[in-house]
Amino acid sequence: MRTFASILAISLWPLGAAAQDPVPVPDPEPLADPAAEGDEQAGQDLEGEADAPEGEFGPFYEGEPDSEVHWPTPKVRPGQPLLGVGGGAFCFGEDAGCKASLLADFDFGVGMNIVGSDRGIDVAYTQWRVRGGFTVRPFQLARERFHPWGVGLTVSYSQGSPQIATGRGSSSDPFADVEETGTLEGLRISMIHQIWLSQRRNALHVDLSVGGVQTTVFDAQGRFWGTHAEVAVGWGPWASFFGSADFLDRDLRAVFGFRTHAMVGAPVFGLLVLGLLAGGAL
Amino acid sequence: MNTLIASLSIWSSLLTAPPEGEAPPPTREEIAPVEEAAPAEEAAPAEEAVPAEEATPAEEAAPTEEDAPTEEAAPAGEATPTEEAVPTEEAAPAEEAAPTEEAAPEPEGKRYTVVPEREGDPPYYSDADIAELRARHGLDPEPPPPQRRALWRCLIADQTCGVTFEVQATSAYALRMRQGDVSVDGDVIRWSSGRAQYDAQLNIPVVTQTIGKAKYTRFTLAPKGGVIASDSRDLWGNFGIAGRYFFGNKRWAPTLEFSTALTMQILGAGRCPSGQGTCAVPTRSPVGVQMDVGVGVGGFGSLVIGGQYDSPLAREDLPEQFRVASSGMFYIGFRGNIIWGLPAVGALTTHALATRLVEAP
Repeated sequence: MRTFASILAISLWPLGAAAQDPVPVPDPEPLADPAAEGDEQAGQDLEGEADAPEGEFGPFYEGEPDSEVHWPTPKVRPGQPLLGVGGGAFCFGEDAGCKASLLADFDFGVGMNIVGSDRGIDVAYTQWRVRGGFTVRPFQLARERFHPWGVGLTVSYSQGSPQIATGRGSSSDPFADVEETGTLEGLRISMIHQIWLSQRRNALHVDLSVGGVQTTVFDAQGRFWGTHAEVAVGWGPWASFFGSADFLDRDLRAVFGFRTHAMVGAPVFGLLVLGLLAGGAL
Repeated sequence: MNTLIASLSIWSSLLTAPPEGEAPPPTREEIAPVEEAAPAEEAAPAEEAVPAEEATPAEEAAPTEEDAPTEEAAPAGEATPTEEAVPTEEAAPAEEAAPTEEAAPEPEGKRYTVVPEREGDPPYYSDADIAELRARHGLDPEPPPPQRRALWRCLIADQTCGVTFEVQATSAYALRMRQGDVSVDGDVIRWSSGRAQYDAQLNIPVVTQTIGKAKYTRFTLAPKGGVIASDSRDLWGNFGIAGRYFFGNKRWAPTLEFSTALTMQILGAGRCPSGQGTCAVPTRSPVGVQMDVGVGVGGFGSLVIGGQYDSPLAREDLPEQFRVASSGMFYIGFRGNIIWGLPAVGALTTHALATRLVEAP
């Protein structure tokens, strides 16, 4: 009888157990919210507390997916600035991934010398310039991540086409006492702000420079300080178009020009000098 | 009768129900089939099996499949009423079962089979496998040759490169012209000269061709700027846009190039700052324009033909000596990347010869 009861108990136990203590049904797992995950990932990236695991691709890509098409010739020094050392700690040519960069370039341009008085005549103006300086990316230094803002200091020296000054003497001849000044030299010290528009190599960047310029003004004796301002759009360190102006006392020099890195400007300058030397012009 | 059986079952279940917190007794449904853990064929000899009724408790169970190799699986008779246990009814007949004490022989040691390391990378396809795969997908038996790569790290523009930067040198014959006396109709001064030009040029792919997972540049368009030298210490600057179209993906594929730029004279012959002699000094210049087209091979070089026009500065409020006459030139020559030398040598020679041999009228 006891055996019979045991068999019954074993066979019917689930029913009894179910009646006495119903098995709790686990709640379904909440569905993952991609947007929320993305926000969380973005928050982590923004905070710099955690990076995405290696090999995962989120809203912020770690690397190029394997399915991406590519040029057969690989990049030189992929993943780090082309002209940088220390993984971009310092670069000899500007790059989106640089924390600090050397500025060394050459530029030339054409524009107008606009005179606001009867001391001179408005004429076309051309100039060439060499520039040096540096930029740092404060937030990129602090956070070890890309940040578009850079700030720096530049010093430049330029030579421009002469001005045409008119004398102060009263004369009925409008061309009396008109003379051409010498080469217009300028020394500029500027603070430069850069905004990098992407993280790619040779990325586009907008530069704004504001500072002072020391130069001669017409036939006045001495050198005078004025204001210098410039806006430039460039591709990495290699090429920039710029528009600049020197604001002096009733003497404005506006220039639109092209700038390239000294690594390019220097050999070209050397070739030009060699050509002039070989031609007997120097 | 049914009422009696139901009452009995309830009472029996209450009597035999396990204490609270203890696992309920197993049922047949909870016992894993033998195939999932240890197949009966691979299990220990049937003589060592024990009947289900005499199954040992879980504490004495033989190793489960996680911790015992299949070959050394415990005898089916040692199956325990745990979830990983092996039922004995299907493993061995009960009449051939052996006593429980003899059922768990200690393994003499773990045996390992060392598999020789495979050649290559996963998935370790052999040549025959690859051939079969290519045939299955209708591909040529011979795989295509590896993708071509550019020389000199893309310092010479190539279809297999992305954004590139190059320095070009042009050496050309130039037919220079300058407006003569404005009071004489058609008075133009012409002379033959040379033109040397050095340009820094960025190449940004704007049209690409994708073949498989490879991308090839077909058309580049980007800013460029540089200097132009000619006789009489004349030096211009120019900046603008240059483009290049590749007719094909081979290294020496033909190309069509063009450039348009603003020009301005930066230096010219003038009185030296010391007041003695003639030097190259900054020169006033209105803005001009130049453009050319060329046919070349790859990014190595091209034959170009073009023209340049320098605007005049001839306002009446300017004294005569400060006016600038309109001028320009037509030119035909060779332009190439300075990396491989010859274009740079050619431009340098042209500049020297023009400076030494030509005097502007």
